[in-house]
Amino acid sequence: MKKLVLCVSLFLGIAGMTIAQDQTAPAEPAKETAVQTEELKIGTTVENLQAALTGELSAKERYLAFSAKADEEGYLQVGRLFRATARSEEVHAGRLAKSIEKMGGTPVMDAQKPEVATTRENLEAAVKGESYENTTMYPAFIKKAEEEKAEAALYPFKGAMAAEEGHARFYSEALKDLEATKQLGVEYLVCLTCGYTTDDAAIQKCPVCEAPREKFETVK
Amino acid sequence: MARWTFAALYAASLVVPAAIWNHNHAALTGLDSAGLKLAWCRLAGLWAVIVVLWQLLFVSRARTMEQTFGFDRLTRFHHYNGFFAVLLLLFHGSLAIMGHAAKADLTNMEQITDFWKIWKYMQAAISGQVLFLTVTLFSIGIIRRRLSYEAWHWSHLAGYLALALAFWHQIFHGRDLVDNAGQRYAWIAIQLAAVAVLIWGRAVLPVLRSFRYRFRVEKLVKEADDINSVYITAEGLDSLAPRGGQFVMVRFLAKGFWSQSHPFSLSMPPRNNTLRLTIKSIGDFTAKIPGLVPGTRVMIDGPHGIFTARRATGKKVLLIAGGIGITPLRAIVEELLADKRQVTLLYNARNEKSLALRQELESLAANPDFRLVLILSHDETWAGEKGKLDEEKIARLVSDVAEHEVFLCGPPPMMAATRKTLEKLGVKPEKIFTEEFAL
Repeated sequence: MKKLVLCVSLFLGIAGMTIAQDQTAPAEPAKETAVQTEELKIGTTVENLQAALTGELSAKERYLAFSAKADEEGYLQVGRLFRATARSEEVHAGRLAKSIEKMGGTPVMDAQKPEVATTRENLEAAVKGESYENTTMYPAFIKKAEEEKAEAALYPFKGAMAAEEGHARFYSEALKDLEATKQLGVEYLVCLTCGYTTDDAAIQKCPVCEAPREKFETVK
Repeated sequence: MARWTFAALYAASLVVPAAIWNHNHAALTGLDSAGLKLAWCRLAGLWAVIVVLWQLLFVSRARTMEQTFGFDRLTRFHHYNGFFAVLLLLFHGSLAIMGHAAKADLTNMEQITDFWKIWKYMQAAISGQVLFLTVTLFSIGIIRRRLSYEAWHWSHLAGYLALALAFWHQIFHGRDLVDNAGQRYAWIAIQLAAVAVLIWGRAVLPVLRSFRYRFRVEKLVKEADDINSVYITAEGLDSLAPRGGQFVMVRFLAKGFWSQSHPFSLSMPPRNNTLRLTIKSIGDFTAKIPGLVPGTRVMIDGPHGIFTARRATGKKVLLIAGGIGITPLRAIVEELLADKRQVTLLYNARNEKSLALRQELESLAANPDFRLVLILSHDETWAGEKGKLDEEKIARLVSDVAEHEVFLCGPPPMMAATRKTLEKLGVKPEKIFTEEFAL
């Protein structure tokens, strides 16, 4: 019996200490890209959430337009990719809006009108946009949210940041051999909890938010 | 196998999954609060399953375990280990809710609904968790005492269902298992192995034995108020080698009986291919015993227990019986006398009518090596010893008690009190043998 008590206490002790330690020590902020940080306006976390929300809503509209353009030009796989990333941005927008409400604000659902060019240019612009978000904007917003101990904003920011990195990678891959994307290939899966986007059909668990396969939507 | 071997196996069964978990979460320190909750949730879940598998092994009647610890101690392990399992399950469940809720920006209640509605196999897992909690609740002393053995028994069977219900969510949601096929197969294998040991010991062996020994009810004999002896015949019983003092799990294959097996002591050393069980009517099942028809087929699981004359190594042996606890001791007396020991039996019962097996005990007392003292607690007209078996009585009736090895059997509170008294009177704890299930 004594051994049992010792075992349980040990488990509880370690679990408690680790959780407590984590709550007091904020994680290391990600590296920032100096050039773009200067252009970034950092406000309060609620303002940052709104800025991110506008960005995500705009990205969604932009990618839907890019998708239509890609289909029109015959780059069917790129069309599919943009539909998937648009769905991902929509998930991010939903989470950000919810966070704003949680923090007492009222989300404004405005999006910028998309500017559509050729599919190659659209992909290049998309890489730039995503890279800016995942290396500059979100790391800075996360840092601020941690300073303000705004837990409600942390996971939407982190989830979005992780997904944007993936999007940029998919766009870059498409650019490497644009002609090949005229043939339809893999389908994309989007995590409806955090927006993580993947082409791994066998995925069982979201590596970002740990949501199960059931929470992934397949974009065709 | 030595006790420490089992202790080491138990420890290893927790340490090995913990090491694998630790390896899988090498970046544990880099996790945020929700990530940490989910990491600990996984360890609690892995441990809970291991601990539940031990639950199965403790009651699997595996011979090596039973010979090492004795059935009653294994049952006690099962009891406490069960609470440990539920504690881990509670941690697992609540950490899963809090961790996933934080990651998905949901409230804890929303997360529970999410688990229920969207997550595959989580309805089964949640139902399993609730069943485990119910089983545990029914095993807490204060509630257990208010339940009949039958109600408790049926509730306990739900534990197996709970284990099955919880299985699939481990495979589909447990990150350590999802990410690594080797670990997943090993995990499935150990669960199948534990279940196989259980099924072998609890179902296959008793059925095989029943075919081999062809147990049947031979006759019933009324021994005292509410106490009946059931004589069971068998073929080739010698090879089963039951010993007086051991007990068997009995399932009578007759209407109203077959669905449950109950433990009963052998109340005389097995002879002439006959076993005798002496049973007091104290519950729904035992109340039906007088209605058993000779010729009824019987399934027997056992014999179990290490409460036998073999434990005695010295010359002087004291046996203390409380109420129906006389049954295994009656069988042990005979074997001890055959072994030329000096035996004293203090038999404490309520009144003359409740004295079971009195006649045969008195005829055994013709042997000069056997001294029988009957003590009645609720019988003022009794000419012999009256009242409870307390320190004064033991010291007076067995003046050299410290030189004895003691076999003790009776209701648990009586056994606990008597054990204390005996130790106070100088009997070494390791010289006191008990069997809580030998009733």
